[in-house]
Amino acid sequence: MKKTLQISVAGCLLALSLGAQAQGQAQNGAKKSATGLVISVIGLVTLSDENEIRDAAVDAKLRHKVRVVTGADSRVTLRLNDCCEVTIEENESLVIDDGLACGVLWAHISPTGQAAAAATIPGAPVAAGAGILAGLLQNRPVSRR
Amino acid sequence: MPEMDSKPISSPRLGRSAGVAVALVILAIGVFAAQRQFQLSCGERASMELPLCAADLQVQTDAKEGDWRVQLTRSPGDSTSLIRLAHFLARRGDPSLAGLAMRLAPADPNVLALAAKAALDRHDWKNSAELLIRLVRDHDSEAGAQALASMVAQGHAPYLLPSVGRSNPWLAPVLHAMGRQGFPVTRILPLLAAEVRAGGGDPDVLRVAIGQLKAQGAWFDAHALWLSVQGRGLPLLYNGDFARAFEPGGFDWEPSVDPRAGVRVRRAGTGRFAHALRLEYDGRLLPRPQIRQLLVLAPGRYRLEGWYAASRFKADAGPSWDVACAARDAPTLARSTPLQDTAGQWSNLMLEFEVPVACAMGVQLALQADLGASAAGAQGKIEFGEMRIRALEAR
Repeated sequence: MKKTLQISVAGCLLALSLGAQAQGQAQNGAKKSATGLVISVIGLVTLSDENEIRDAAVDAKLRHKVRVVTGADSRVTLRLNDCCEVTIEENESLVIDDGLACGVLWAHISPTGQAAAAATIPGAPVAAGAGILAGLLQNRPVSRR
Repeated sequence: MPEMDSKPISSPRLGRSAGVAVALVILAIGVFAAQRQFQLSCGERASMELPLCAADLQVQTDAKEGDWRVQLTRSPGDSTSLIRLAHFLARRGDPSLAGLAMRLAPADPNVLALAAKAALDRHDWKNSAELLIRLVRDHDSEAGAQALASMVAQGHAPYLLPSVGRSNPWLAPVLHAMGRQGFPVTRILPLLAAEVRAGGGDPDVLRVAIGQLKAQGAWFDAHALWLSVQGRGLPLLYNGDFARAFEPGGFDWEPSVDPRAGVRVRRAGTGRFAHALRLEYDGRLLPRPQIRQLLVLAPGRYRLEGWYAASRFKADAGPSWDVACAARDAPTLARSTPLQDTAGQWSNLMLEFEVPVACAMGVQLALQADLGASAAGAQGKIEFGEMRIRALEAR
């Protein structure tokens, strides 16, 4: 399970510190709003809340308690409001939580269990490199239109 | 006067001999015609470098190679000779003329195949993808589709992504090739998803893909692909208000359709709900389940809610809503109390359940009678309205 966390640019760090000052002492500085946006999607990714499920599209808004789930060979990158980016790899799930700092949110990414269920069919041959070439230069005519 | 000792030939015998002679003549003409046709077709074939004819096989010799070289020396622009020679050399492991052939006849399917092979040999996946796609899209190449399927199965689908647009006639052959070769269909999902997001997607192809994913137990992937086709957010329990006709092949309600079964399942209007699910029992054997829906739910706690009304309903044990992992023969996770007659009054329905990680997000909600109860004898009517599932607690 490969997880990627990219704490982004200096501007974000500056914004973070300014934001922390603005919030003052009353609020725990480690807790930042973790809502944000979907910034890239490869493959099949869904967003669901307590009632509804939908396809994740670029620029989709992420709210508190929204669950992000990725499918096989899929990946989604989220930009959360405290300026960090979290990439969720295939067959993983994350519930967005306002109460968690972005820096710890990535640790809450969990496997969905799909990979085991949808494993390669037993005995199915996944071609080796040479297998790809099979048929290309066989003694069979390539049709012409 | 000498007698002629020869016996007259009887007319039946004469007829048989004549028949045999005529048959032999016809056979000879047929053989000649077939040979002639074969020679003509071999001689006129445009793709001589792919020998099907005996003559082709004979000319694929060093002597012929020499002829092609001579011909090319005389006429350097002779693309036919160049393609033949390039293909001949490539099959001997010498790709030296592939590049030149590609410049001279870039649209020729045999040149495309040559170039694709060279790109695959170099592990140049980007160019391989482009060339193979052209081969499949423009020339219906089965070998090209198989090669693309192998590429996708090995995780090279991202190299095909830039070629995905609204219309991708090459995707269906690749999907079918993956199925034939037993590759996991999940590998082609990034391409199908990109196609749907681009506003395309052949409904038949998507239906095949969703069916193959369900058969492989890839519940989330099948559901997510189906969801992307719908193009909008959907409730966790689809069509729980029964407003839409049931659509097979996706994640809608799946009623029993056995005409011999003792229950008739249909949508109907009621006094309280514009649309409801109605089950009418006639005392015959009951199917298991009577109706079901495949759900895709992340691990966590959920609540099934809704309304039901039973009229003149009699049974040894009423049916209950059962929740189980979607895998075949999975044990029940939760079961509602058996439904009883309500004299036609609408009553609340509620069932809380927990989806474990082990379900791999595939869950089945089914209405069925207890296995231990008599499967026959139920009579009367039960209706359901405004059913929904709500997530209580994420995990």
